Amino acid sequence: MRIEFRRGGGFAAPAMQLAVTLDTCSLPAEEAEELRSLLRSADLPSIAASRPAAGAQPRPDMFHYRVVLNPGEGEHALELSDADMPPSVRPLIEWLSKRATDGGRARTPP
Amino acid sequence: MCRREPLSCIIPPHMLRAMAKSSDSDVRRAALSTLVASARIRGQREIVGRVRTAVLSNAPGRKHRSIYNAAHEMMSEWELPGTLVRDEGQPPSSDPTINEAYDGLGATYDYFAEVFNRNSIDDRGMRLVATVHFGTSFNNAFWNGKQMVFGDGNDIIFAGFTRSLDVIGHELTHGVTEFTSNPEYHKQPGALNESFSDVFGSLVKQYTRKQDAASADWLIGAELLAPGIGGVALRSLKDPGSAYDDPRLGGRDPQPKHMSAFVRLPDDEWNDWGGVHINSGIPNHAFYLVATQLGGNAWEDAGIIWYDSLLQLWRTAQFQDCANITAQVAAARFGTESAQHQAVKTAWARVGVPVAAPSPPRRRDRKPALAEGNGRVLKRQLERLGEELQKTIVALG
Repeated sequence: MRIEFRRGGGFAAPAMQLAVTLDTCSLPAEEAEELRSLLRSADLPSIAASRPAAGAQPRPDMFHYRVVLNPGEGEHALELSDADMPPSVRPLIEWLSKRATDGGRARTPP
Repeated sequence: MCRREPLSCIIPPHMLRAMAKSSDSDVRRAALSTLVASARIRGQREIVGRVRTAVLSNAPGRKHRSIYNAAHEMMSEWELPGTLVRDEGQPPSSDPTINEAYDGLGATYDYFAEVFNRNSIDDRGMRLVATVHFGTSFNNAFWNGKQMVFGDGNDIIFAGFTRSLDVIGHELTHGVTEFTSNPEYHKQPGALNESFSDVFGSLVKQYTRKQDAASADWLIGAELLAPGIGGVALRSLKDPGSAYDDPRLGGRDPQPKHMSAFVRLPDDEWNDWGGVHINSGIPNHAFYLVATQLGGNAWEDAGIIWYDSLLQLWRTAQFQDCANITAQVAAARFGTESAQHQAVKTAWARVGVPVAAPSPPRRRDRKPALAEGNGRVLKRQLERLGEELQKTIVALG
């Protein structure tokens, strides 16, 4: 399963942007399992279905997030901000933010 | 349509005047009614403004800070603010983050109260609310329209966001801006919105530390960068574009300091709403140039010119409008031949936004800055106007 993650906005927006694309097939086994488990708990498709498809509203210094599952093939896209994030999604967003922050640097293989 | 609802139609006055001479009696009547109504609304607005000033200047200055703890949860709007951990007058906590937020809110309140006689964010004594320990290793601080929110940082790139007094001042100023001219948070108005937060965030720090313009560092977020990050801060008003250079911050500080380097970006959340944190470098640097040209304390003449301008600007204000208004304010307050007026004109010219003469016409989209609570009064007055208008229309018919 592929997952696209993007974060925009922030107090120093240009220095805080994040973007990462991950594939559970190519991640180290432990990380892939972590991600799969977070995705199961987050249940993105049902959250996406329950939210109005309104565009993001600008808020001073606030983060905006976009998560796309299986981009391009029956994808599920979800857009969130720090103002309106359902509790079930938070661990996933925090994990992806951390993973994208680390992503710019060389990672030691497991 | 316009014929039925004279108040709700938006037609420029010159067109209305032409329509008032129309041979069609319905058109003539509707145009006349609208002209009468809009003239009265303008009058009412001035009255509302004067009443407000009188009421607010009598409001007692009172500082009420409340610091809450999110306990590392990314609380959404409906869950904030969290658990109250230090209210106004309570002794310091054993948690330095709580105390930094409490002290920073206090310093910001004191600055606006002592220098501008402003009673909190809304000028009506609004309680200052901040939530700390938002999320886990959360690398941000923001203003959500009601309160401030601070993350702890991950200590790899950013330290805790309460560490920098100018960052606390920046967030609270977003509140002040929202209650005054409230420039839209995208493109040039958004960059002005950001710039006012940086300017007053920096002035809160300078005022609290009693630093004059020459000895201030003019940096935003100097205490936020974790050890080993290449840079001195997140932004510099003195030298925009020089604050950092590190791959973990996406490369080099992208702020321009001259209009010729203005960065055009799409107006969406992935592009900083058209670069509001990028192009703010231009008005930021203009303020720095005014303050250092005048010398002494930046929170005195330069800060007063900028604060008065913040009260006078409007939702769609562009850099050019800000240049013109700051020059007008400086001329009105200190005289056209004054060093202050000259410094403002020189500064804007140096950042590539020369002050335009003569002064700009009054903009139709310009809305007066209203404090919370006046809505009801205004609504009642508008209702009364509507009733009068109905009578006028009936009489004309």
